[in-house]
Amino acid sequence: MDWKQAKTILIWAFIVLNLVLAVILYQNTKGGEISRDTIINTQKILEQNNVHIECPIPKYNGKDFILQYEETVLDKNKIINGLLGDNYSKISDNIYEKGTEKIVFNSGCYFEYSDSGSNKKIYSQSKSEVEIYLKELAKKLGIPLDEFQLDSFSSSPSGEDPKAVYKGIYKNYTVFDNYIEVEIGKAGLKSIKYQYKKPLTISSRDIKVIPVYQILVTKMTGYPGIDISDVDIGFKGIKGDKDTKTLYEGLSWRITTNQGKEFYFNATSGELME
Amino acid sequence: MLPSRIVLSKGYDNDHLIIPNGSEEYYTLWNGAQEYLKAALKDKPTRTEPFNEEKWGIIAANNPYYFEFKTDINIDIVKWVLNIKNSVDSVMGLNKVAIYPDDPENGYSDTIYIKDSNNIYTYVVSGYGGAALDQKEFETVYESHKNNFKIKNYKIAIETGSKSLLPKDMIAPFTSNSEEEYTNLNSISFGSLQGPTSSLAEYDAIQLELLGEIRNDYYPDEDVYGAVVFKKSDSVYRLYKNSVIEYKYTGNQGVTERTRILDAYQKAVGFIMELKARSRHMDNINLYLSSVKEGSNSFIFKFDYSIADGEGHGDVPLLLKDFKLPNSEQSLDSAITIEATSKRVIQCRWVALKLEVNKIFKEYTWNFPELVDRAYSLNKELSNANLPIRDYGIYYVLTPPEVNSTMITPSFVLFNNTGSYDMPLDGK
Repeated sequence: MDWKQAKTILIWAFIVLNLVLAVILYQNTKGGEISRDTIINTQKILEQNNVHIECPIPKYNGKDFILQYEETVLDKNKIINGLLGDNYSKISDNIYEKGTEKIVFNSGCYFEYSDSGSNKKIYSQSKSEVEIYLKELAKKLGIPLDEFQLDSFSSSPSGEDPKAVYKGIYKNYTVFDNYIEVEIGKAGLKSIKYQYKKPLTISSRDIKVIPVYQILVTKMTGYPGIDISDVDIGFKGIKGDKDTKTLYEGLSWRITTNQGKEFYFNATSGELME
Repeated sequence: MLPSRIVLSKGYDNDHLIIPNGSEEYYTLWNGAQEYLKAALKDKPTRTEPFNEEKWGIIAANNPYYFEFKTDINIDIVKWVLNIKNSVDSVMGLNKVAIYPDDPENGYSDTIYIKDSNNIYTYVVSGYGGAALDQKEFETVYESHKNNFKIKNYKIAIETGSKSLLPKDMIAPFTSNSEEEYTNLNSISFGSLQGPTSSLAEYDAIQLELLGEIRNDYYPDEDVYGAVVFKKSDSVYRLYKNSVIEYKYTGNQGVTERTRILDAYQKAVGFIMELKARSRHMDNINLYLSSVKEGSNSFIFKFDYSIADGEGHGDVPLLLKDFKLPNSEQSLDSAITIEATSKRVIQCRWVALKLEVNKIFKEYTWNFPELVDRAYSLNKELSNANLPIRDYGIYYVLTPPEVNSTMITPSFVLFNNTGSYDMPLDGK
């Protein structure tokens, strides 16, 4: 037997085997990735069902994560003084008024301000003007504006009264349940809705999310005639009953339409959320 | 649907024996009784008469087999449990049954007496050809129990001739001491009762104990009362610090069609079976339906726990007292309270305890009249209420401070329409 030739053959055989195994390993690792064909087919199914999508379909199908919050209680005094100043009336523990202005605290981490008299002047309804105004206001009210980013700036259907929506941001994830909604009238600030809980940490869960194309095909085809303008993922909590806190949240898919309507789907169960 | 008491009688003014719940004979007799009930309910009753306490007392004392339930069991539930497809619906339900197979007074036909909340129904059945509960079986069970147990001079209240406030069909050792053996009960509360935690691993451990698996669709949380919460989009589990667990359906009820009691009962039983299957806490617990109430388009069923004392001693029921929820002033008066519609269980609250008996038997001697007198003298509200005693029993009585206790001894408990009064038995 020619041992030298046998050795060479064996070396080549092992090299080929290793290459084959490497390819298999690569395919296994990437096996879960959503293919281009799947995305194209999803778009076709949506079109066939009269659902128009104008944005890319995210391909994420990795692990679910869980966001843990710190129990947060807003500084009521700072908010009341910052918005109403002195001489306000306390209607109840959660309602404060001054003239046409009103603040309602709905839970420890939420308040709503409204004014029918435009006491707070904003000289332009432009996005930049609103941002400058909000920056100043946030300082007065103790709002951590650096933990939010502008999510949308839109006019109402009648073309007036723009609304700026900021969503929470934590470690590059959108935190849907932390938000600031500012509505501006021609004469000034009309309303603010603010909800904030301090994010504490993110942990991974041993479960994969449902890729959004599945939700688009199975759920959104039930809404013919809509135009989907954006699809993204972030943290959103399940409400539970009235006595339950929401200190843990999982990932959810958000599907936004051109009309500004938002659909949230739990990313592990696929269930539509409120 | 299990009888809370099975009594074997030699006839009026003769011996009566209570068959230990959960014993082999208990199930033999209950299975036999089901055969007779099936045969009876196929036809109209031979006689229907308004309920009369004395009359029923005599029936209870006269007939060889007597079965008591803790509450009225609706006829639809009875038919479902007994698998009766075709029946003549003359009876609304049943809470007590007496059976006299081969009754000489009725030409050696089988006589079955059924009592619901209003009437006494008499069925004379000639079509049942089986041998369940026949004379031979009666003698076998009677002799085995008479010899196996210490003397219990049980009488039916009507036989005593006393004009007391006791139900006429109550069976108790009215005339002399009763000597019985009971073991101590150990109770361990559900999981860690330290309240919410910031560790997901700890939440997983609690969830594993609660649901029997780690369910990724349930997110951990806490509530304003410091209870541990697991929630998903349409339901919430809540574990309170006193070892009470609550399940609530929080989803949309949808179109509300009128709830049928059988559908609701099936949903409730299905939920409890699942609960029992996945719980490490309920292996040795028997459940007795103790109350049925109609809600607004739902039914509320209550179940009581009994625990097997072991070695043929049968089940001893548990009385749970003062288990309250933080948002309610009212105590849970049953181990499981479950509300269901035709479609689903909408709420369930249960006291989740790991219960074990230590199997070291101790002898207890008690005297019914003495204990009743003592209960009246110790409880002002009992003597002031002037309400008839509804029932009595030997129970393990558990209150929240004792959820982690190792020495719970049996107590004598009296029930009237306002509540229960318990006194520990004196052991030797």
